[in-house]
Amino acid sequence: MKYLVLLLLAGSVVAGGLKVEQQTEFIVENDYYRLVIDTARGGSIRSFIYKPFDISKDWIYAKGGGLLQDMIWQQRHPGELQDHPYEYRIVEQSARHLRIELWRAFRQLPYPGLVMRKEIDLRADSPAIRVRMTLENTSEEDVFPGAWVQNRFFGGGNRGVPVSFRPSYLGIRMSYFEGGRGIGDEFVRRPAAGWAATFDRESGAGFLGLVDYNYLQQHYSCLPAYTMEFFFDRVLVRASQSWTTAYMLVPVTDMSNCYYADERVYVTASQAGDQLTFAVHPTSGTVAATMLSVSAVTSDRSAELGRVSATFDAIGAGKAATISLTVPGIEKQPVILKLAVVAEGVSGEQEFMYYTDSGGYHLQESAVTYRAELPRKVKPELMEDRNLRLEAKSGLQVFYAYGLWHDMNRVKEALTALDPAVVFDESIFQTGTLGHELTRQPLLAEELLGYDLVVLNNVGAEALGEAGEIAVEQYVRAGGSLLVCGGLYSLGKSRWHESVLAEVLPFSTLPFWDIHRLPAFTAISGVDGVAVQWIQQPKELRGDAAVLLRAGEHPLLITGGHGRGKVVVWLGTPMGSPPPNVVPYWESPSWVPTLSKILSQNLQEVIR
Amino acid sequence: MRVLSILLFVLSSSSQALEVRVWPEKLWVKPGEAVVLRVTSEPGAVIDCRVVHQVDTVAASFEGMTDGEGQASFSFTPPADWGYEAVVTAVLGEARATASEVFSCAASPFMVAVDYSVPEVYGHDVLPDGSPAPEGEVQNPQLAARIDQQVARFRHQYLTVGELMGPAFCSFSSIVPPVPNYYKAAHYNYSVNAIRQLIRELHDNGIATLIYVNACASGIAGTEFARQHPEYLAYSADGTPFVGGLSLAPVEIHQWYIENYPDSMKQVQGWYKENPRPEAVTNYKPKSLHGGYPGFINAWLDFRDPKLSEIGAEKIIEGQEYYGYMGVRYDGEYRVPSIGDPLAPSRDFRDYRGVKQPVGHEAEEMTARNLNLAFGKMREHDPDFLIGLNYADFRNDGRGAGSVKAPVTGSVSPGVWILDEVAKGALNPSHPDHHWEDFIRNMSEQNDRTRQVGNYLFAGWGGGPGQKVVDTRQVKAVSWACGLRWICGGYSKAQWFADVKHEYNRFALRYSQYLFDNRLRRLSPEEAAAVITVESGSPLLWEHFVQRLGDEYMVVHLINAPLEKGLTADAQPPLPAEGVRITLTGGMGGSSVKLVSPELPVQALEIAEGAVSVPRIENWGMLIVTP
Repeated sequence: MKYLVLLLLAGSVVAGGLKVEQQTEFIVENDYYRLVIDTARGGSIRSFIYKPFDISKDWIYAKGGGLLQDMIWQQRHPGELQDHPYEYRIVEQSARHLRIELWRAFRQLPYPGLVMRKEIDLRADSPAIRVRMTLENTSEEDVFPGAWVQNRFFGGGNRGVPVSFRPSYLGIRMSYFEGGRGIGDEFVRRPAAGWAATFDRESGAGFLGLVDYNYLQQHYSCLPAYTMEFFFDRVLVRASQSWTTAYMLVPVTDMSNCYYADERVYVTASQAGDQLTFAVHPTSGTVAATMLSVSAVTSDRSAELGRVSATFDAIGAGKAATISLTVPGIEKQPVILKLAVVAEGVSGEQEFMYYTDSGGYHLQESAVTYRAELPRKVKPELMEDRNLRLEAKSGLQVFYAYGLWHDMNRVKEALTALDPAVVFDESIFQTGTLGHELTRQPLLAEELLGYDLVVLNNVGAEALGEAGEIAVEQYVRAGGSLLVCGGLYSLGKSRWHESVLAEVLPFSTLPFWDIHRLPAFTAISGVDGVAVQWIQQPKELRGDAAVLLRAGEHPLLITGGHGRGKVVVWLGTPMGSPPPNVVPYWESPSWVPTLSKILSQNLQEVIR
Repeated sequence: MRVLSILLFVLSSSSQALEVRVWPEKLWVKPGEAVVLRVTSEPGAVIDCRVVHQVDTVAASFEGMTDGEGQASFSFTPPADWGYEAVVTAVLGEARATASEVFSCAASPFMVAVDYSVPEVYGHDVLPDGSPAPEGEVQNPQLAARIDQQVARFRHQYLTVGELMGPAFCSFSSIVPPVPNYYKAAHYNYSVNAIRQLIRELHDNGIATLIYVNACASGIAGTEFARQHPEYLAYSADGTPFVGGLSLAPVEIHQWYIENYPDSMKQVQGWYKENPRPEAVTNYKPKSLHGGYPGFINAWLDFRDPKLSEIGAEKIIEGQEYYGYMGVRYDGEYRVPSIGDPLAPSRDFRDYRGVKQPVGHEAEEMTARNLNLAFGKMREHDPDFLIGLNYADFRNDGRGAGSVKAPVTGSVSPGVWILDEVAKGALNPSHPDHHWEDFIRNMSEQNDRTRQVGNYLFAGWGGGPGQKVVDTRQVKAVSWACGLRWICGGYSKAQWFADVKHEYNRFALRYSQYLFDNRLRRLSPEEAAAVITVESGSPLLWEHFVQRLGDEYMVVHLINAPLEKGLTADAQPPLPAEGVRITLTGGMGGSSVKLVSPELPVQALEIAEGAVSVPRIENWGMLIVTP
């Protein structure tokens, strides 16, 4: 029989002159842990002792340590919540269950009135710490915050050598910090699944974190400070509404790596010669009927190297079930492994490149070719079908999102030639630690309905963010016009192929490497004496695509439609250094009239 | 009031003794170059000037008399390398005064660089009406004063090398700015007049100048370089340029400033006058001029094509012609793969097609080729061109890094300044150099290998505002005993070494030959024990600090052992060691032994039964043992 013990020193009691001040800490204990939730310090867990490991070691370090430390990444670290008092209430309390809700409102920009609310769910029979996190918009305006949760601890209570395993589009990324030096990524962008593991290398003690992949923007581990952090996607929270997600932390011991995790099981691996052994561990308590299959293929996917599958009736808490697979040659070269798991009827997969030496050169060498296929995220709150209609306005109104060297495409000049009174609402592209962004990101298609044209001038899907991508797609489908210009941050270089915008263009895009350098500056067909050298290449044209300009055989200007809208894509880029006798398009007097004419003819339904 | 004045006069007169000052015009000269020693005292004073080198060898003596202004000067050409001390005595009637000052002679200023710093003279050379000063002497009195202060600081701290940050943050755009008063973003708003004058004045004082260069493309011109040559950019695994950031918002105002100069400058000056606290004004235009880099910040480059290294070298040479600096200090060189750590797997660099950059030996060979090309070009232009690299090439991290990096090490030798920036985190308990024992071993081994190929080892010191090591003498003494020089002064956040800079740096420059001569060979502790034993009432560090220069002399450092195991902020200084007895064996018994110390006058120690006694080591002493 497992019991959850809750100690709360509460109230302000006066007894015989002895005054007891209000306490802010909840001390919670079960067979697995003894932890302290401090409502006065960010509603965070400020002490964590894991009994199966070592009852004398607190995993939370003194200065800055803590689990479930909240922020939004639109504020500078540490934001305005950490170390500040949270309000709280007990939602449920019994010998088997504690649910405590904690909340605090933001008071500072950019989202005063936004409430961070979390419900911590602790159970007598589980080591897991479950959290339901809610961003509640009490303002009268729609907001677009991105949550950020920090967990700062020493795995097993020892500084040791912190190690992280996290899934990304490049495979499972291992990082560690040893001898004052960090090896591997701190940020793991483009996560491939919603889990992360950070642990001490020597003891294998640490935490497995599980979050909803659909809202996970990136993983971060500041390993010198021993952190496991989750950056969540910015989410649209309408006025007076809220957004909720769930995540959990599970203490682990004896972890040396991690290649798969979900709420039911996680999978580790070990290698002896060319034999790989995979161990399936219950994530939290006993797991019933579990199946694991493993397949291995060569790094170029040309040949299968092995396959194995096993079903386990039940795996008890703290136990593991194993299967082995012999993979010829795995000691000398990386191979692609795929794990397929069905646990208690719920299935999951994880594919990754496996390296015998997962540090140093081997990882770098073979990371060249490998790319994981990322599951597309599902965000119902953005995808709702609304009856969108463009708003008629006088004069040309343009939402102009611009990036590097945008001016050299001379789009503004071409549009000004169509309407000297044209109004440009600008949004500027920038990159930084957190990736690509626009200074003004459209959140809803409704924000774009008043524009005659949306221009993405060397700005890609990545910078728009998922809400912006959906907004632009819905805007075009509703009849809007879109002009896209290529460049180093556009199309394939901007996650376009993984975006809903993939459906908008008159062609499919190549991932990542779609910039092409022509052998020399090449004449643009149909525009006298004008040349281009660096262009972006489409993967495949769709049926309704019309190629209006070319450089040699290469399509340069393509038009098409999406829903009721029109799309024009310019694939030339103003890059390169032309020889003296060549006039690049960006310097040619004929370019602006040409572009102006094309825009006028192809976007005429909306450019009135 | 009259009574008070008389009293003051009497006090002043009665306490007034003869004063004398000697001032070598240059802190460092090249062999064959003369140093003018300027002496100031009372008119008509008889001056005796002796120039001492090695421990106490008199290299030259001069006699003379001060003129009607109290001035005298002597010209001295050092006969050999290393540190010198001019000791001057003035006699006027019964009064007598003595003063001394040190200077140095070396083929390279790196040889005698006891430390290193960055003179910061940012700001524009503006006339009172807001218009730019004409090309030439700095007209802005605040800027001129700042230059003087920086030169004085360098002299006071005996620094023979200064590094100029700002103009060449990106060396692929032109180091020559588009306008003479330029905003390079961040705090690098500078004027050509000030940079040139600073360089000139530092050189006049025998202080070499290096320009800081980052092998990346940054700012407006660097971004334009990237536009013209996207084939030279390094790309991330997601196909976009590998950059520290891209900020387009400030581009427009930077372009406006350049295109409308000098009117734009005047206008900006007017904005400042209207808003003396611009940081308080949201969307204030000059914020964009002072803020982030317009365009790319640190767009990393793909140096597989050797042409790119040549372009970098050409720009640096062009900048030398324009500004007059003596050399370059790279913060990231023309490296393949790009300047990231070659052992860190997160540094996954591609070209624009997605073809990855090589790593390991192939990459090091390419890097070596690039550096040979670039350095060859620079040295062809100026045979004495100084080169520094931020390149901890000898750190052994268990992966054979030293051997991987061997091609580069070979290509940059000799005469190159090697900076180990990794060392700067030594205050961090998890740092590999945190414990004194590890620090001494790592730095000594690294210095051994650096010396073997004829280069000079320096370490970068970080430290945030307010961060202190109480006893900086310990850090300096141990580091110098390892042959390592710290780069720690001058950055506003690393000023804490200043408290001992003057006395310790003076000492180190004076006795630089016993600290920094690349011919010195460190004895292993076992070898050292065979020739010397040290007994002391309190622990002394010495076993790792015994070095020999063939049969000429042996240097033994005696440093009070730190009380803490690690390099710890706020550590208590060790107590002085007393009753130190040194026994010389292994054929060194009949030697001459002299003790030099920043805390004590030079002492010739008497050898009795093969042993010498040192009554007290305040913190650090060097025994110079001559067979």
